[in-house]
Amino acid sequence: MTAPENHPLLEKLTAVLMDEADAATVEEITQALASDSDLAAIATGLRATITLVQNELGVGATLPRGRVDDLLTSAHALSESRIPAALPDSGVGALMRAAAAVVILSGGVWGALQFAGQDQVLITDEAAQDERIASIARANLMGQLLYRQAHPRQASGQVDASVLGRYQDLAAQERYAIEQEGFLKGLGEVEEEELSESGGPVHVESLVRDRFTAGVPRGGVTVTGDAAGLSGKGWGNGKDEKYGGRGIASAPQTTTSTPVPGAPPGLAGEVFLGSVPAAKSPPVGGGGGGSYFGPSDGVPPSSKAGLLDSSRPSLGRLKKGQPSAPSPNQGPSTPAPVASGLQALGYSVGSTGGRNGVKLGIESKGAVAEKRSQKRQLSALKVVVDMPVDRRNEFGEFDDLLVGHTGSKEVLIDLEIFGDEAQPVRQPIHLPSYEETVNQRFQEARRRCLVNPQEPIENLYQHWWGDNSWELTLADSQATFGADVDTASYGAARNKLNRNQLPGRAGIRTEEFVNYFRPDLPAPTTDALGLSVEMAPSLSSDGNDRWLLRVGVRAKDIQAWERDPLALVLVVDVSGSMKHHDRMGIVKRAVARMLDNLDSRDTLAIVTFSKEATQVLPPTSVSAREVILAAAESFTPGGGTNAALGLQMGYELAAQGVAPGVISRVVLLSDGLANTGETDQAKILESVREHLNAGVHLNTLGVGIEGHNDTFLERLADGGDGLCDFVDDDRAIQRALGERFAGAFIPVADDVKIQVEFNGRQVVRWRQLGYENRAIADASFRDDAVDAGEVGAGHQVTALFEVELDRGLVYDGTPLGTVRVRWKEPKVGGQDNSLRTATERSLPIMAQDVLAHQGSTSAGYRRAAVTAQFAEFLRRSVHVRTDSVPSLLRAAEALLHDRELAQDEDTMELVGLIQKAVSLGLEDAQLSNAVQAATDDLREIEHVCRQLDSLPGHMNTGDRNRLGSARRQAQERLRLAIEEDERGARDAAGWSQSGILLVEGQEAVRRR
Amino acid sequence: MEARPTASLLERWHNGETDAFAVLIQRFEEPLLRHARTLLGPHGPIEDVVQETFLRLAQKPPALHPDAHFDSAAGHGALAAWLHRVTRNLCTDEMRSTNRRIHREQEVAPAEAVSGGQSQVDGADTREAVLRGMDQLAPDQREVLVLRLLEGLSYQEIAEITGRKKGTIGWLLSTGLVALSQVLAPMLGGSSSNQLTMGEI
Repeated sequence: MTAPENHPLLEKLTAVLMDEADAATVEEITQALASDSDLAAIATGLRATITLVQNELGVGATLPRGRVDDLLTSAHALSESRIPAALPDSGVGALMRAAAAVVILSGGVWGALQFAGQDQVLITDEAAQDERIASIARANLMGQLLYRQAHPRQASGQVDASVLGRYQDLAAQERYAIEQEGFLKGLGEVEEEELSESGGPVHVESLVRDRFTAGVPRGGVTVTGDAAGLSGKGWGNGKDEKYGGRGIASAPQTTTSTPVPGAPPGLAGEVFLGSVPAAKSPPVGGGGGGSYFGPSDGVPPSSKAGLLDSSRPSLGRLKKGQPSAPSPNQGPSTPAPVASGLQALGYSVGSTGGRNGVKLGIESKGAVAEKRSQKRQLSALKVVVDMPVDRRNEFGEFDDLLVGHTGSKEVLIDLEIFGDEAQPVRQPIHLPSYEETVNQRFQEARRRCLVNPQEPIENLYQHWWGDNSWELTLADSQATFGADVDTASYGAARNKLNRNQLPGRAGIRTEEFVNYFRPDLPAPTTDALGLSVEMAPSLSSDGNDRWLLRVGVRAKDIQAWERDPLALVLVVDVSGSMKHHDRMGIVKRAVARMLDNLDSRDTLAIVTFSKEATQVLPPTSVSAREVILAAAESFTPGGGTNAALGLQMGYELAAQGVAPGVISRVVLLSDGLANTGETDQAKILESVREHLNAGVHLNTLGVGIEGHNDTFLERLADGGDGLCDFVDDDRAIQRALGERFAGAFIPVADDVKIQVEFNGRQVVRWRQLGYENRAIADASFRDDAVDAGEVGAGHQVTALFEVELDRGLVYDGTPLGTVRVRWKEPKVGGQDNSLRTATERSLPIMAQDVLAHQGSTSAGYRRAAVTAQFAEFLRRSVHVRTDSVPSLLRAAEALLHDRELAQDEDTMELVGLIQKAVSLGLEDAQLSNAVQAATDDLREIEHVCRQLDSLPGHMNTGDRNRLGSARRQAQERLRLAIEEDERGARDAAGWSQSGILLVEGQEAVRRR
Repeated sequence: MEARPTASLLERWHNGETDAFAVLIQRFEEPLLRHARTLLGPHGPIEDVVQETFLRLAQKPPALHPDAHFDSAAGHGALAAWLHRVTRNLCTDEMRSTNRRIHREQEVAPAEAVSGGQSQVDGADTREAVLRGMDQLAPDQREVLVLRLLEGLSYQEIAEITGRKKGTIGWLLSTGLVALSQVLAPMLGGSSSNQLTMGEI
């Protein structure tokens, strides 16, 4: 008798018993029962079983009354408000609240998926179906366009910083020029003003005017002087080393100072030092007092001057840059003997201790009438050295500088000299008119949105936004990429956040964030790798219905006793920087932790490097644990970082240990090799690849806190088919070398390539999150010569895709797509690795299998979705511009409502990091500038146009018109944004629309 | 009450008839509890799961095909399928937890250990014995058996709920039934010859 379960007709018999069979099957089974007694016996047994089950189990359980009441209360609250009111606080209240929170998150997306679509017409004609999808894609793209038209990207009203900066710069120069003119004019005017205020004449006590040039062939400062109208005490005549400059009292003469080491050649300019006595200090005749005869007394109008002003408040009106109308009464001011007041005695231009500067000597002379103890107040002292425009510099103003009643004082003023060529520029600055500039900026901005028809669409997207683009399935249905199990990006970002800084966008790799978490998928038991898929509505709140597909690749677990022996060589960085932040301590503890996972089968060798490489420990059996630990204790940091030497010695040691059946690995521990030169990097990488071919892998472990740069370490690990990890504390050590030990050191699959092929008949568009630098050409998936990542035991690789489905999706049993994974056996030392054959597995993405309500997805899925969005926010990805940080935060906090995740320390940490990032100012990824936002909108439209062009079939006239009008509108918005930005920038920098600098609300009048 | 079409209950509840939700619970709690039990075992958090399912129904009811509101059978079927799917997803979630899996394995183990003693069971223990027999099946077999034999769902409906092919459902059902009939053989003995003579299908 055949065993019942093996009877060939068993399934048909069951179908007949279950009333699921067609007429032919019923006929077949009826006949078979008559002739086949085995089958008849089986039929009897099955019928009896059915009856028994139905009789005994038919009366089922019900929910306990309390739970039903709870449910009804919640349902009532929901139907009242559609928002869950406070749920009843019963024994299950917490659970229900958690569930409610999860469901709220799923938002209104669920309704969009209709399991029983309205047009349930199965289209079997492929061409017709393609056309249908093309028209859906068109409709979706048009929808995207219309959505964007209705919701232009938002941006804060800040003006373009670079435009503003430029205008401010020019305004500063212009103000400076105006100010100098104003000063000279003002000196004349002051007399008038002071006259009216104080009732007496005001005398300019002294004005030093000197011309100097620097950079004469001898390299010194040459000061030529025609100390016009000045008299007073000299301060040496060039022999005085103290100032080394021009003696003021001297007659016009030329003095050469001592050489100025730091002064650049070609420096030339003028120094003016002016001093005006206090209004109420009547000038008293005295020796040496010079007079200044006002601006028309031969002071060239274009010259620049500095003011030494001793008379607060009488010169209060002579403020910086304030223009003065020419005095009607201008003419030679009354020369008056000056005996009291301040005098500029002399100056020198020089350089001490790397600082260039001007040294001024000031002498204060007491008037006869004044008390000797009286101090003069130097207010608003201002010194200006005029130099060619590109070197112009202004020196600080000194308020309340006290000088003794008599005596002298030195003031040292820093002078920053930059540029190295003098340019005779003295033209007043005029900005082009507002209209002209707007026009020019608009044309330029529009040019930046133009699409080169030769450029592939995805390049365009990368170029504009630096993210993976949305792909139309009809145009590109495959995503192919190498597996990546690195997590360093997450570790580095966490480290930054824990130090209260938002990580920079460049270091965020979405895939490394998602792959950080412990595997949640069941391990495969037969194959090295297993596949899984899961899909639910996306967290994205862009105007379209989006789904997030998770593709999981889980590596089999390998128990310690099953693994091959390991021959490890640690290459430890002991350069000077390792002294800091307990990095050496971290390394020592990491070695100890690593030993916990090793046993007598394994060997360990240690090489250290700073300027030189040193073999600290030859390959030693791990049974000699104490010897190894003692070697690690001997590490003493100091000196340079010569990683190349260290790795070379490490590889030499590893080469000795290469043997069949032994896993040979070099492990580099360093706080970053960022300062290694490009050429060196290339050489090191090359040698890493060579050794990999000989069967020696390379793992890298980033150690440390600040300044950790993992880019090169990551590239090294990639080159060596190993893992790059990051440790900064004991927990990270435990994770990297404890929990992830097998994954990091025991490979189960090599050259792991993953390909997701979407069904163009059901999936309209898709985009991949992360893996930007892991992409492999679609055609190379089955090309086993193409290298890809290695996956270690117990690892899980997660890839996420956002997809837009055909809304009228018909579940005709064809998959939404297919996931494939292809891999080779790990490389083994001492064998011909070129002969390894590849294994490929695939998994169809069946709609009914994977589509889930967001709340009914697995915990791991939900966490991956939140983690990916977090990473995209940190990346300031274009794809989250329409999403909001508060909703990310809510989604993250809702993870903790899950019973399983709430106890998972990594999830708690993730939520904490998101909260931290928000508290540190993580904002919606909106653009800071309206011009950028409008540019992006226009780019998006151009991108949509390019995508539309790539679709089969034709656009209808209505769509074409809409497209044209959308483009025109976007251009118009761009122009408006530029207009507003230009106005804002000009206003902020003080320029009028016609291009003239406004000074305190009025257009400055400049003398030409 | 029973006369009200299921889909209209949902609508009526939407429109403020809170009683309608109570009827929905009454109508579906039993099958859903049974379904959850097949997956989570007798000691699993089956009530939690079913309660959560209903809560989700209240929170975000499925969009039913417009016809569902007019054709009561179709409406019932569509809503039932949705509820079973959510229940199943929640159970899957539950089972994904390693702890839960271990817990569950420990629960099942003693049942197998005592299975040899089943010939001794008397009538009062029949229900227990059938339950234990069911527990010895693979979860996917058990699930399909319950959905077909107790909930009366068609192969097609089961396929939609579990995401398997229709053919797989037939296969799981037949192998599950055979396995169960073998486990329960001692209890079937008396009636078997009787039914054989009746010769009916």
